[in-house]
Amino acid sequence: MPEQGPSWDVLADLQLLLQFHFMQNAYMAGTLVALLAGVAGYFVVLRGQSFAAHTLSQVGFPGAAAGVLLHVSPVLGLIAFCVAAALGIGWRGRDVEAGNRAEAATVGSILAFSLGLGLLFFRLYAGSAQGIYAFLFGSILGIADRDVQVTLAVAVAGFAVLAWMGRPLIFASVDPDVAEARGVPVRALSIGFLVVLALTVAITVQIVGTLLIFALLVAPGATALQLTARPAVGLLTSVVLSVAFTWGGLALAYFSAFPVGFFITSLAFGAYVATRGLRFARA
Amino acid sequence: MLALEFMRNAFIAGGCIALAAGLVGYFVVLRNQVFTADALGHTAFTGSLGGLLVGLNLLAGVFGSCIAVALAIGTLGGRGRGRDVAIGTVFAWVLGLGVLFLSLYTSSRSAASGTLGISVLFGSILGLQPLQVVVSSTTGALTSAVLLVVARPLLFLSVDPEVALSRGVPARALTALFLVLVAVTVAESVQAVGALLIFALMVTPAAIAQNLSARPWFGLALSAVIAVVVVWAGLVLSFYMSYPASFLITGLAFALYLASRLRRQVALVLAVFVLSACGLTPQPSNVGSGKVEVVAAENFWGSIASQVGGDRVHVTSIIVNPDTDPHDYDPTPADARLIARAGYVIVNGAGYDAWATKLLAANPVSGRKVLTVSELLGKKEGDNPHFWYSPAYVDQVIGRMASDLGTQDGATRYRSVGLKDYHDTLGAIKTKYAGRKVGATESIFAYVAEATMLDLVTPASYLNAISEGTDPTAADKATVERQIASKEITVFVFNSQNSTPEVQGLVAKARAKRIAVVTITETMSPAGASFQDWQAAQLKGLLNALGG
Repeated sequence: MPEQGPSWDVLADLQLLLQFHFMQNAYMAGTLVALLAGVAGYFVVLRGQSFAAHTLSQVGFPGAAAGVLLHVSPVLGLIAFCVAAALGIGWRGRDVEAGNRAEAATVGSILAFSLGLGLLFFRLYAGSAQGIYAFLFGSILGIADRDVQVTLAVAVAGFAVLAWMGRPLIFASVDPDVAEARGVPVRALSIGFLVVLALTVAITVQIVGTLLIFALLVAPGATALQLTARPAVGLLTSVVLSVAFTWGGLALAYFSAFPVGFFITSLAFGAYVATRGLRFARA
Repeated sequence: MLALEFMRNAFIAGGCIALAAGLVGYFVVLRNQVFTADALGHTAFTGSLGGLLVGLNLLAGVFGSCIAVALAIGTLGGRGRGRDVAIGTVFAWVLGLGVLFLSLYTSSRSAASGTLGISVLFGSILGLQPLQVVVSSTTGALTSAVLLVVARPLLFLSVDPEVALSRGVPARALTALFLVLVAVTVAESVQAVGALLIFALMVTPAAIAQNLSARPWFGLALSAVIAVVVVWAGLVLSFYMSYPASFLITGLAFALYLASRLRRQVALVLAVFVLSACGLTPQPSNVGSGKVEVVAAENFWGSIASQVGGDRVHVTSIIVNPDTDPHDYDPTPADARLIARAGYVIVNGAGYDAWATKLLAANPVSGRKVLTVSELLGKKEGDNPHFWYSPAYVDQVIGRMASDLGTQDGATRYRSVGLKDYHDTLGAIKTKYAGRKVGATESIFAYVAEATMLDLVTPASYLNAISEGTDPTAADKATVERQIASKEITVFVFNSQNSTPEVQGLVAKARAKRIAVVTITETMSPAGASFQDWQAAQLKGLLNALGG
């Protein structure tokens, strides 16, 4: 336990939390990730592409491992593999659908192979199991300055693109046929969004790992969509939730000895269940 | 290859698991329940760790949780867009819970979380214990039998549910039974290929079969055969190449899947690839005549053994690469062969090289002597395992080796001549600098601090956490940073072989504060050095840093 535990004085707690460089880095990177993930995640749920997000994060795993093996930053490896996968999915034209039997088998096989490949790359590097484990589940206490810089760059780029295509993207997501008829470049938007999603996944993996990506990339958006159908409010809600889960998860991990991945997934799950429950009760 | 017990076990257990997975998997794909299997894989991870945490066997936890969740899914069931999000969120939380269980379990036992986590996630088919082999084989065989019994009505129900119902097929009971079969198959597959790679056994062979034939009975048989072939071929390949078995099994399954989609072109490419890979022949073993074959898990014990044993021994060490982390080392079949053929094996113990203990247990050999250093010293798992950094413990080990190998004169010579420089340097540090405050990145330095009476002020819990590869608490991190920032310590000892980015950050800070940083390594570095040269060089570095 830290020398001073959390108290009811929020300002004092904040001072404790941000006293040290490693926590400052964690909060900076975490906030950037949460902001982008909150926005991108809203679209992911709106477009029914939560499964694609899952696929991208698992296919990115060997990318991280390859990055480590080649002595470049693992985040860059993640970006490379995720973007390549996004282009692959987008190029097929039709979205990856979990419901289709053959699709599910194909994608499942690809996912298993990606994870196996990542395992191979780690073993080739004679790397420790802890290293693999950190990429699968996230590890917040070791975020370096360089990682924060890369995260900032990616987040800014992601925001810029999403801001630019936000309005037509909503249109194309909610009513693709009408949008197409009105001249909205639906397919280009799809591919563009998938690339942004790939970038978002790549930086989010630092915080929660490839296996827990849902907690930051889907749950906040899903919860927001449970609460409101209006896009502007929904986006804001999604971002607020995502940031709340991240800040809360970091703080809880700091003041207790438990892993941050557990806290963020629990907060996300709790919020989602609570809103579903509310709707159920109201109905 | 089959002379080795661990390979026989892997073939038997793997074969039974693959048979069940191929059969059950056929229906999983047919009934479009692929993501139930995925969800159950996540459950298996959390369930096994939860079971361990409450003191059950790993098998009890994994089977129990999978069956419970499968039945729950059956009751709540259904698919659709909204469901994907709900299911994904639930199972992300389930994994998060598993992460918590793993952290709780390993911290209460000071074990490396990474190793256990990875073996549950990616399987450890070459390291199956006897109980696991028995359980896997029997459940695999039973599951296959039960499935074959209900295959006909199940097929009917899956392909044409309405007609089946009207013909009196007991839909609810059959569906529930099927879910239990899926749960059991997932649970046992976890041991072979791990919770994350279940798809390779349960979905891919079935998908291949369905690509190749639309006829159900033929497809079912094909699925089973492909699954077994993939597992056995993967095992054979892993024996001759040094790649993880679960990767090879997954890779083979995937390659066959691509081939089944793209037929001719891919098949040709694959054949070329496989043939060239098979060009790698197994390494010949190197047995000296008349000498005792000594195998040491780590090269520092190996170095000591070769100097104590002299001409009487031929020593091979397993961990020789300075980049390898002994805590999480994944042994290859070549290592298992070495241990199976050795006359004298030296293992560190106390949880440091659990992989070595497992290899010994999987390959019992009569007449082989084993020196487990931790047992000799009366230490157990949870104690600081870095015994080779303590001069007193090293001396005890030398004594035992000498009596085991019958080379007392070699030992005497080693103690007085070989280790002279080492003991002198330790003495110099103690005489001049006893009581000085120093810091370290992990517990490996603790025994040296004891021997030289330096005051190691870094919190013990921090030292242990870094050593085991778990996350130190934020409080400890804060203390260590404070000690550096306030220059409370004059020297900071850094284990360069066990360093995470955050540890490297600390080293940079220490340097910025002009605190002398001394680098030590976990295993001998360079790899060809002798134990005494390596240790003496490091100790001299420490002496210099303290002030000469």
